[in-house]
Amino acid sequence: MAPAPRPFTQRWFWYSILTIIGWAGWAILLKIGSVEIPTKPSLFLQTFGMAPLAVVLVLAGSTGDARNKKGVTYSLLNGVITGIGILCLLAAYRSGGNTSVVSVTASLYPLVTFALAALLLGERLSRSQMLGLVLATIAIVLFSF
Amino acid sequence: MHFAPWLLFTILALLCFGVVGLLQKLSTDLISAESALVWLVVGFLLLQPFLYPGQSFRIYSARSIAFVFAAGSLNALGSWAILAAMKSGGKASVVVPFTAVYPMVVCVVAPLLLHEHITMMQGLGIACGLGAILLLAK
Repeated sequence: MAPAPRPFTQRWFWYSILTIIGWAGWAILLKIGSVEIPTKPSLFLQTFGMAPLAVVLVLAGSTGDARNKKGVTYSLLNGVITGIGILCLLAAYRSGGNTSVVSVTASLYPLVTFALAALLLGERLSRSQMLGLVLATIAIVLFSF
Repeated sequence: MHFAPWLLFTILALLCFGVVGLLQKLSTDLISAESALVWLVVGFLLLQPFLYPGQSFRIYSARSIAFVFAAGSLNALGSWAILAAMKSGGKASVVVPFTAVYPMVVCVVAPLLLHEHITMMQGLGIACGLGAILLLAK
């Protein structure tokens, strides 16, 4: 049996690193900007910040396969629900939430993804992931004191 | 136990982002990461009529506007990259929790840059939260 390839030789690994860098910068800049700008105008402006990359991708012709209705619907829902999530995040920042605490709590979202994947796709949680679930619950309880 | 407003809002964000994790995988199973990102931005644009403040943005400083605009650009970059990670063979069960470690960067940078203070309880909570993220990424 061939050994599994190392993660850092895989493209998905480096794309994931780019995601971490992008989202860490996003969380910090959003917090700084949201001190002055209220929740709704902040997301309104942020969307314009997202548009240039989308325009570049369309102009580069890399969106030719967007005819799959299901795929497009999932992506549209992805945008709407992410937008609502960011609104909640901005509201948390503006109602006195500490940047580090809010970022860590909101990043426990894989719990929800795993629960949904288990329910809808029949996936199972490993023992360490179960332990992660317990720790995440403790973290949220600690933040509530 | 008392849930402060910020914590309730954060839990709502967590629920939304959890659903999004599943939608990212479902969409990139069917279309390219680039198409998924474009339609994700269209999804954001659908919210714009409800968000339009009805007043000029001149009341805000150029600095704050620039920060929020740049935040949007970095969000788009991160979103495209996670979609590309899934499209290029990354499993959702690995990529979603792995990329969720980005607050580790925030926890290092935010206190230095924003001079925020963390209580002992919050520090313990952050340690548990980061431990949870690392375990989920295993």
